[in-house]
Amino acid sequence: MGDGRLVITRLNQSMVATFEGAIDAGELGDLVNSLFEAQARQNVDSVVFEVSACEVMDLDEFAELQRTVRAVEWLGLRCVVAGLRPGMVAYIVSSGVELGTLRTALDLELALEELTVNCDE
Amino acid sequence: MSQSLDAKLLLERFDISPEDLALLKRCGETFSLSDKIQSVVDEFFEWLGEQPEFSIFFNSQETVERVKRLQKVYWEEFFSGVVDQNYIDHRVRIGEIHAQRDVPNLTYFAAMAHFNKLYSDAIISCEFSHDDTSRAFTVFDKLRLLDMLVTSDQIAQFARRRVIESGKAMLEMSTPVTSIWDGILLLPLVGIVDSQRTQDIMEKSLSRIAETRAHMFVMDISGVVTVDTAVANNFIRITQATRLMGCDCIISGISPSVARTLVELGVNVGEVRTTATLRDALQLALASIESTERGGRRRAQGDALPR
Repeated sequence: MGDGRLVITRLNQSMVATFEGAIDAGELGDLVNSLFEAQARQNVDSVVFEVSACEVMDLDEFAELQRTVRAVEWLGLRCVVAGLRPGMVAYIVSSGVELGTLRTALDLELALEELTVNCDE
Repeated sequence: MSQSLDAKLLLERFDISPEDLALLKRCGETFSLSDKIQSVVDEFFEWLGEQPEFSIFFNSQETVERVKRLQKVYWEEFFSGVVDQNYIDHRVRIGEIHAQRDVPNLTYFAAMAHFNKLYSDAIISCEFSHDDTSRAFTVFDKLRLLDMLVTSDQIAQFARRRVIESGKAMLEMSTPVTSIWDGILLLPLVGIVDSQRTQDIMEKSLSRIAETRAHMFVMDISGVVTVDTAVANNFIRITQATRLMGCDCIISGISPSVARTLVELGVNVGEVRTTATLRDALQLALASIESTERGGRRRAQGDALPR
């Protein structure tokens, strides 16, 4: 951990957190704070965790990501994790990780689409 | 090359000494004076011509003559007194040819037994001393067994390779993830779903989802032979994996007995959507796709409105 980069951008009412390289636990902590502020000031209602630029992700990093998603959901924001790679998915599932109610999408476009559709419904 | 087919090791295991090989060479030299090997091969082919397999493997006189020539070379090598890696490699090649031509073990072993008889007479005709004749029989037997081991080993290896290749081909054919509609993938499963197959199904399904950007993945298990806890867990893993790729999974073809088994086993299907028939699953998948498209259209229309 520690070699990653996190970029946060806003798209309509969603925030997109794009991860590059490894997922950094410290940055995830800051991310929750940033999202809390964004929700209050910018009327944001959902977050996409975009991980397609993470070539590898170990189980600790995935667990950290899940914890962050849950924390952000406690703020009342809807979350979708987008861009998990097939090899990574097979590894996570084969390791017996409890996935809970984690919402996922194939890529950013589909994640935003899902957030919009579910919002409409 | 496997260690068991190393010339030095084989000679050691079959207890064949340089003196033994020298004695075989003496036999070969004596045979060459009267072209004995050729007459043994001719006699062998007379016997072979009466066997039921002859017409299957020898469909022309040309083939017979060619195999006779090869047989002569084979036995000349046998009685040359040289058993090195080239000798073994040549035997390996012969084994491969036997395997490729599917020569039955019965035919091969019967033929070698007949050669045993013919060469016993030939060794007697060498008129060596009693001790040398007796030793020549023993050495002939040992080297003949060594040759037979190499040949049958190749036949067995060929059969094993064929089984492995067929297994792989079966595995390839057994995971036909097909795109049946825009955004819908179908995987009809037939046979036994073990952990290796689960892995294969998962890899193929996830790559297809990424390729086609499918929203729905229908897995029809009506053709799966048995569904026990392990198999049910494998299905749940596949559905979890597809879900992580942002693709909903429906398992169709749940028979009443499978449903009862799952309940009795206490398998927690969680959020997995299941249907009794493939028809129901397809209806569900199409409805889900339609609702996604409706949502998309509504959003597109909304975006077009002036603000």
